[in-house]
Amino acid sequence: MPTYNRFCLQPSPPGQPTGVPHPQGMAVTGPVLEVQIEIPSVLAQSLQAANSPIPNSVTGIALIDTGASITSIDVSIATRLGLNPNGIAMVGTAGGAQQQPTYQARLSFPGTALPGFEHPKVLGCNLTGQMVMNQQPIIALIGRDYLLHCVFVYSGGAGAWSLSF
Amino acid sequence: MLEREIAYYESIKDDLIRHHEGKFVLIIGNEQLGVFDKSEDAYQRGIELRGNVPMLIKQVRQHETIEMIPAMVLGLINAHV
Repeated sequence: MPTYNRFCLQPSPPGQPTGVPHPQGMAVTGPVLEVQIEIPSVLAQSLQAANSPIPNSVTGIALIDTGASITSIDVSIATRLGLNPNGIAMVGTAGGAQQQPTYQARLSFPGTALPGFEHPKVLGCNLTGQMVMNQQPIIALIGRDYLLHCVFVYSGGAGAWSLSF
Repeated sequence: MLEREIAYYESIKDDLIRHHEGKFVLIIGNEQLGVFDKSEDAYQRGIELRGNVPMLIKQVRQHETIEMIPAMVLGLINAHV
């Protein structure tokens, strides 16, 4: 079972890692990791067969959001990848349920042993302006539809979390 | 966004529920292009038949599921006091 462990450590002078846990830092950033979003394999094969260019993948930060029932990506990423919607989802808001587009997309986690996956329905939503860790944009929220395949441990006091797939 | 496909789905929903409840229907424009066990299979068929176009892949259900993303909806993803 591939496992990814993430530790949030106290900032230190350049070249001098402290190795001291930083629970408050993790409370601010939350459980985040690098994510790469690509077009679905079946679409890549179709474009390749037609000698059409395959859009470059987009890399950014994903936040594991245990409050979210569905995984979502910033809708601008879907546009950059040239994805068309494959459906709609009803999303609960304070003003009642709203329709939002869904997309099939491939998500992977560079630099980890976690397997990438082809997600049949990620929600397109507006994550503009959501920044963490030196102003890196959050481009995806990993929801419970992904976590249902995983063991997710959040150890707040230790400034650490882990995800086993 | 997919207004035509949604309207068409609603027009055939009762029949779909009778015969295909729980399956995934693929609709492009005013055409039902198949019923599948998995959403991924419906997407693959849609790409094969029509290419990269908007399509409605919908699980046939009596009642719609409401997705909840409270932190995003309430603007609290990066909130600090």
